[in-house]
Amino acid sequence: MQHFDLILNGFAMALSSTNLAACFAGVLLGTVVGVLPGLGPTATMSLLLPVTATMDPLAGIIMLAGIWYGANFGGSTTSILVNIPGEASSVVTAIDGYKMAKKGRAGAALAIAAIGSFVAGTVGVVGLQVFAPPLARAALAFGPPEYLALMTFAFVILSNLTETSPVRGFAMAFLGLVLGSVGMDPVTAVNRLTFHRVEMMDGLDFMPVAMGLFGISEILSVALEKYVEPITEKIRARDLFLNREEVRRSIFPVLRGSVLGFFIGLIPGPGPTISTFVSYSLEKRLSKRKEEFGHGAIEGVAGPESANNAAVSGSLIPLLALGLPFAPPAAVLLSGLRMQNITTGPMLMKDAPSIFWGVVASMYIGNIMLLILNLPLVGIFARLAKLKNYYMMPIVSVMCVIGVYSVRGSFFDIYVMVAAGVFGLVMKRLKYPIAPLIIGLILGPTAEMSLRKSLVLLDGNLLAMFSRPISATLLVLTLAFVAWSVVNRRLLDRSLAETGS
Amino acid sequence: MNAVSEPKISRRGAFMFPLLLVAAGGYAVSECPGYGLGSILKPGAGFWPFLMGGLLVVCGAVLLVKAKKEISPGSERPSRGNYLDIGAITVTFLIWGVVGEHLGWLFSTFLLALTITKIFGFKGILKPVCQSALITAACYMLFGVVFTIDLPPPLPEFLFR
Repeated sequence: MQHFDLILNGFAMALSSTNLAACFAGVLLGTVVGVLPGLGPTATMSLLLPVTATMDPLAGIIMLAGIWYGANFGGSTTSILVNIPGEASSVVTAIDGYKMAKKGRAGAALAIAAIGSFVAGTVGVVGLQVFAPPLARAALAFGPPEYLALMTFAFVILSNLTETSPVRGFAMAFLGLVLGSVGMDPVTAVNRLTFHRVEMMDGLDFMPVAMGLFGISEILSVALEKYVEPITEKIRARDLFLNREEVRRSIFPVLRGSVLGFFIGLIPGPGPTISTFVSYSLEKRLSKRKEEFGHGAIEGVAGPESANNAAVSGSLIPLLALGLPFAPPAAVLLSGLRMQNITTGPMLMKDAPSIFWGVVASMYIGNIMLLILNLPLVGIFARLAKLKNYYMMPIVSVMCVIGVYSVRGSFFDIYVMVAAGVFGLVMKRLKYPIAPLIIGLILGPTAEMSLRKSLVLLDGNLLAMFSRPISATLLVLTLAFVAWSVVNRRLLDRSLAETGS
Repeated sequence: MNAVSEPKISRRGAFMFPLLLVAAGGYAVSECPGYGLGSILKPGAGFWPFLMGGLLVVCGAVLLVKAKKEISPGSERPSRGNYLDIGAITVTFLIWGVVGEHLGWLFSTFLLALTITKIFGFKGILKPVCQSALITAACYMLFGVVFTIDLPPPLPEFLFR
């Protein structure tokens, strides 16, 4: 009953004119950045952090969350119509979505992507509403060893889920953790790795680094690549109707994708992207028309598009219930919460229930807004894909510098942002993952305090973590994941070698 | 919209980046004893960065050993002009503050927008200037009027003396 009251209260807050406007602005911006290749939700959320800091806390967080899930909604449009995914989580959609468009069923593909995203988004929010409060209650029993074990688990998974070698992932995570320790030590007040600069005594601010790695590096990499005029498939409103056969074939992929995506979102790493690949292979395995996959199977659009949206809600659970972001957009959201002086973690639901329940309620409303926006206006969004770089990049550049400067009024932060941007460009070109670095930077101070407190608590014997049930379970899971990962890579290498010979 | 292509990974890039990681980790490790490492029972301020820096050195060294395998010709080789563009963009960002301090942030923002517009290939003079002016005006409205965010003086101070 109390749960019902809380969600009703959440709706009462989310339906206020300010919060509705923030939600609309967030999902609209999210759809736009989802459509535009390159500029992702993390960069956009970082760009708008200073703006949201001046807003009412709930409205600011609703807007940031709206950008995140809105981007997954919009990402499918260019995948289907132009064959260029707006987001990494829409890469899989392009395989069958573009083939459907070529066969004259672009409208049906877009419609099922929008409907699937809506259903999954709603299922995901239900999951968030059901699972986050008990997890937060359970997390009250977490001590430093449990947090340390959880972060070890997260970093190991995050570093392994890279497209290249896990060593690169670990290197980036350690670099992020080193950068996170820059500044005054909270216990002894000793300045660490500051190069004797006053600006660095408070530590490296998250925002200029995030803006540099995601925003500036994108501008620089666009400057390095050739511009190609996209060819867009035309779309009319009447094309958006699905026929009976398409509806029948889409129902179960949408439902499976929703559940699968939600649970994959809980795992540290790029949940929305991974969920699309898992969903696609699952649908292909279960389908009676396997030969149609890759040639325009509607299941190949319905499943992955549902999965990536549900995964966003799943990714919000560790952030809202434990205060630990396991994905770059979640890290930005955490930064937004901190800028508003909102304590994250298990106490969030006790100390600031209006924030949690207001965000949950706004996600139901946001999903409806996205459905309304994405179906009739899909033609307009598709045209955005043709936007030339010289219209887009100056706006992003100006937003980056003003946004970063406005947080602390420091030119030093702009230099940090530019340095991070150049570093990010090099990382992208050499295929080093950015996610472990950014998560390391934001979780660094928490991880350090957890280790120091654990060492004191356990008399310097970290093996005693195995005697505590929660930390022991997490460490065993981490070791099992490492073992599975090593075996999996060996098998993959062997099969590649056999194929090669 | 940009073409999807595989970037070239040069020999220099493949080796230099891990070396940079080793150097960064090595720097952290070398500095930390000065902050106080403490003991395993009572870790000091330098304990954590020492540990993480050490692990970074190890990872960097492993990557250095494997660097030869990473070299790839790729399908996309940026031209000298591309690198000049990158340099120009970077310098424009860096001087935004210096110009803004003396001539006001509206002028420096206009200059930034115009430079980026031209670098990304907007031909002619009038249209890029108008677009940059429009972006600057929109920023002024958004940051200066609607959200009243603290920024340097919008116009040069000598105008008001």
